[in-house]
Amino acid sequence: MIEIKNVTKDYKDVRALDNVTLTFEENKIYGLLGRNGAGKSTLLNIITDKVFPSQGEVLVDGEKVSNNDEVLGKMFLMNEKNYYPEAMKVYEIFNWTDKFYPDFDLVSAFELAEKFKLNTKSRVKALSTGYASIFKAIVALCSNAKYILLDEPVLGLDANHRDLLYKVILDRYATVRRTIIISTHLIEEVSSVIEELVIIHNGKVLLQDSCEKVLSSGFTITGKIQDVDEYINGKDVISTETFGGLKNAYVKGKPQNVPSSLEVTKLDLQKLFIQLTNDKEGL
Amino acid sequence: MRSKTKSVYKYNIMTCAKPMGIYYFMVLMIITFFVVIALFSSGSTHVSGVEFATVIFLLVMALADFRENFEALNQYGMSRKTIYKGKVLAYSSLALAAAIIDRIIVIAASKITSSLENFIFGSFFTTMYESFFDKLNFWSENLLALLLSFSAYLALMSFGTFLSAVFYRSNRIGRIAIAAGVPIFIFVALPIIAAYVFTTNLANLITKFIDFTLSTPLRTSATCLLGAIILGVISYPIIMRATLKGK
Repeated sequence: MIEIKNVTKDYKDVRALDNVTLTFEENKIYGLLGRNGAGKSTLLNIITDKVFPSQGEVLVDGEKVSNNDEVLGKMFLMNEKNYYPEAMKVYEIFNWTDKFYPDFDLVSAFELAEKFKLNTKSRVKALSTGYASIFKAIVALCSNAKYILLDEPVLGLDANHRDLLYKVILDRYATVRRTIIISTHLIEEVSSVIEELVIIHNGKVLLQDSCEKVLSSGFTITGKIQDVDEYINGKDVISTETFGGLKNAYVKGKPQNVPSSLEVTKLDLQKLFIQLTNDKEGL
Repeated sequence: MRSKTKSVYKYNIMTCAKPMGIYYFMVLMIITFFVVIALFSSGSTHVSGVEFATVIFLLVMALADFRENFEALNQYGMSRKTIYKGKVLAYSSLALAAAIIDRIIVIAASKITSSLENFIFGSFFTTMYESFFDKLNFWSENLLALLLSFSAYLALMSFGTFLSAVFYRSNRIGRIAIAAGVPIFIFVALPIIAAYVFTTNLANLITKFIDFTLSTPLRTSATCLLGAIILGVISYPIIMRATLKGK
């Protein structure tokens, strides 16, 4: 279990994280969501001891992370930025990761590289943004670390590769259960992969709950503007949007006495996220 | 050696092996070039700068190597303490390896070119302390030259690591200050200070200090080793507080 206790991080005048207290339990897939600059990357870097918190502490399985090789070896952070030597070839980095992470699955790493058509003889500096993300994600997923933290894993990937990567994440999770934390702002796509949701906004935790619970806390109602307006009158409405003569309303609670002229669907995670991070209010 | 420190040690050795290989290939090519020149010309050639060239090379390698290795090893989940330990062990091994290779080059090149009357191949350090080394037998001379080279290489590598760690930790203004400050201090401030100091009573004290620390190969070795240790100790807290920087 990863416990983040009252962590604050200041960069000169900017407070990147503000008294964050969070817990990431074992064997779950977390979605760490937030707008650009919300503090997601800072949080992941603090968890893995790459950046120091200004206040607070991080415990992994009850032990402090700072300068603790044993604890650091339980985690693997796929960083958004590249920190591998740029002149090194992909296969060389696979081989080195195998030396530092004894459980690294070298065979799977090469198989996945083939699946993604990643040339393992390419130098890191020669990789496109998309292939750099693929390469880093493969290294992270094959590390077989107990806690895998992926910071923007689909950065620069096309739709096909994004789809394939989500499948690979689920496949590896199904094979060996572990904690996977996916930090992203591509919310709609990741909603089918994650079990738990953490939303960070302006350095603060806005929401931590199971994805299913959050999505079942409300519903979407669609229909003619007049019909929707009549139905949502007096209800707790998250937000609305109008397209031509049709209107969508995102409503909190359970759908009750819905007229047949209106269509009820599940709550849209992205809409909920936008609403939460615009208004800075919790559910 | 613990397995993680061992992995960091191996990583440092492997990443330095290639540039060192290229460096020694170039050294051999240059020596060969001068030998060929000596064979076909009547002018005399004196080569004795291999160790000095190695000092510069190892300093530059230590300066250039810090950021990339620190970030990569951090990415591989290594703690700063392990990164530091691995680097100290690797640099000690590399300094020793470079000292041995240089000795072999000096001995071999001297033997091979001994028949050439217009070509003299010597050692930088033995030339520096010629009167001292002349009194020693073959084994004592080489052992002492080896110790001297090793200490000097280690001191310069420690200096390179210290400087690059400070540079890595500094902000933009700090980096500019280091980049401009070090050469300005060495080439501008130091001669002015020296000119001023040597007109005062401090001159005798400084001359005596330099004389004491660098007058014999053994004292120079001890000074270099002490310098390496001090720089290593100062670098420790700097590395321990280093964090990953954005690119």
